[in-house]
Amino acid sequence: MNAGEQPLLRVAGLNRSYGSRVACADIAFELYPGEILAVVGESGSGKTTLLNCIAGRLRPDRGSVEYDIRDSGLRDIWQLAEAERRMLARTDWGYVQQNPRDGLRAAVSAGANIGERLMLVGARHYGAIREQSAGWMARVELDAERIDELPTAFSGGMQQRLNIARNLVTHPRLVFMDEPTASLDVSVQARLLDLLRNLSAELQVAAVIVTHDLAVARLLAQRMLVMRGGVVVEDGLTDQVLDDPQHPYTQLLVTSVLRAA
Amino acid sequence: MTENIIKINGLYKSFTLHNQGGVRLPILHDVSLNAERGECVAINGPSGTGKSTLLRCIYGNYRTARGSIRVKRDQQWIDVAAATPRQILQLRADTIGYVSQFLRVIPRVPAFDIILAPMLAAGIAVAAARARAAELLERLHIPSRLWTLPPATFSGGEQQRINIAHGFSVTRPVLLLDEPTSALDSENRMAVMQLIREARERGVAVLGIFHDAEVRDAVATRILGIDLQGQLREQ
Ligand SMILES: Nc1ncnc2c1ncn2[C@@H]1O[C@H](COP(=O)(O)OP(=O)(O)OP(=O)(O)O)[C@@H](O)[C@H]1O
Ligand SMILES: [Mg+2]
Repeated sequence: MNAGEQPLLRVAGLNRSYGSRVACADIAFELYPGEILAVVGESGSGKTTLLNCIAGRLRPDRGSVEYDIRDSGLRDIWQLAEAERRMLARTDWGYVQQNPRDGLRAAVSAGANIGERLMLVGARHYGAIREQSAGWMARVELDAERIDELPTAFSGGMQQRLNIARNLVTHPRLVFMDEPTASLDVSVQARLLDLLRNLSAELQVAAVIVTHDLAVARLLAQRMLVMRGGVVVEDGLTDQVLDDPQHPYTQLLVTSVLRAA
Repeated sequence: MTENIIKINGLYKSFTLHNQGGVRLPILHDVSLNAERGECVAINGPSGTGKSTLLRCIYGNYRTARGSIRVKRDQQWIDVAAATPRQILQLRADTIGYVSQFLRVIPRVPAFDIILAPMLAAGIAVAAARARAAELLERLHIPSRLWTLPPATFSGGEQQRINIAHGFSVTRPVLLLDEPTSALDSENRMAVMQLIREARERGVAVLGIFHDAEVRDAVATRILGIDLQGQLREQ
C-alpha cells in the first residue's frame, strides 16, 4: 500500500432519486486499489442504489463516478459509450448479487457459468477455458468434478461461491457486492466470509460491499460508510466507526448488535 | 542520543452519548506528552480516567476532538488526529504496534497465523516469520497443541499471550500496551517484561498501562499519571 497512488474510483456529488424520493444525496468518496469499503445502513437507506450507480447499472441524476481505466486514467463512467461501460463491467469489474441465482445462468453448467466471462473477452480455446473454470471451482472450494452440473444442483452457499468464481475469473480490479452473505444460513455465511477474506488478501482486489451486518464490515473492510435516508452520515476506518461512533444513528446501530461485531 | 518519536499536544477527548439523552463525558483534558525511542512511559491512574482512551487515540482507533498526535514515520511527522484512513493504516503497518486489553480474534483463524499476519504484511520472509512466531509462542509458554487452533476457545490468559505475540511479532518504533500482563501468571509476566526490555533496546518507544505496580516499576523509565480531570502529569 502506497499513500501516493491514484484512487481506483472517485465518486463526487452523486445524487439519485426515484420520483420525489431521494435515494442518494450528494455522496462522495474515494476507493484505492486493493481497498475494501463497506457500505452499511438500514434497508431503504440507499445502499443498493449507490452500488448500482457506481457499478454502471443505474444512471445517477447528478454527480460523477470516475474510474481508473487501464491506460487512460480516471474517466467518468457515465460519460463513456454504453459499449465501453459494458466492457468494463465484463472485464475489470465483478458484481456479486445478494441472491446467487440473479448472477448465474440456470440453463448452463457450472463450468460454462465461469467460462462465460472468459469467452466474452475473447477466449476461444475450449480446453483452456474448461481448465480455468475447473481451477476457479477449486479456488472457491467447489468440487471441480461437478463442472458439468447445472447451478441448480448446488446448494445456496455453493451457488454463491460459483457466482464469485464467475466474477473473479477475468481478474477484475474492483468487485461490487450487494449483501453477498445475506441469503445464506449462518453456518454457510461463515465459510463464505472466510473465502472472501482469503481471496481479497490473495488477489488484492478492491471491493465495495453493501451489508447491513456490522460483523461482515468488521471482518472484511478497512473503511466504511454509514448511510441513512440516502445520506452518508459517517465514514472512516472500520474500527474507528464501530468503536467510537460519532453520529446518533451509528451509535444506535453499534449498540443494537450486542457486541457481535 | 535521544530521538523524539511521539509528540502529543493539547489533546482533548470526550464522548457524546446521543442515545442516552446526549450526555457528554469529558475524558482527556489538554493532554501533552513526548516520547523518545528506547523509553518506556507508563500511564498510571484510577479506573475510568482515560488511560485506554489515550492509547486508542494514538492508534487512531478513537477520534480526537482537539489537539494533535504527531508520530514520526520515515523522518516525517504525521498527525494521527488529522490523518486520512490510509495514512493511519500505513502507520499501523510499519510504525505503531498496539496490544489491546482484549484479543479481538478474527473468527476461525489459527493462533499461529494471527501472529504471522503482521510479519507477512511487513514483507518478512515466510521462514523467518514462522521462526519468530514459534519463538514468541514458546517464550510465552503457549503449548504447541494450541498453535494451530483459533483462539476463540482459549482461556483469558492464553488469548492475552496470543495478543502479545501478535503485537511483538514485528518491530515497530512505537508500541502501545494496554494492561498486557493483567491475566498472566508470574512466569509469563517475566516473559513479557523481557520482551519489553528487548523492544526498548531496539529503540522502540513503549507507552503502556500496567495495573501491576511491580511490573510497572520494573519496566517503566518514566511514569505519568492521569487524574480524574483527565489531566496528565509526571509522577
Ligand atoms: N467508545 C466509547 N464510548 C463511550 N464512552 C467511552 C468509550 N470508550 C471509553 N469510554 C469512557 O471513557 C472513560 C475512560 O475509559 P478508559 O477505558 O479510557 O479508562 P481507563 O483509564 O483505561 O480505565 P481502566 O483502568 O478501568 O481500564 C470511561 O468512563 C469509559 O466509559
Ligand atoms: Mg483501560
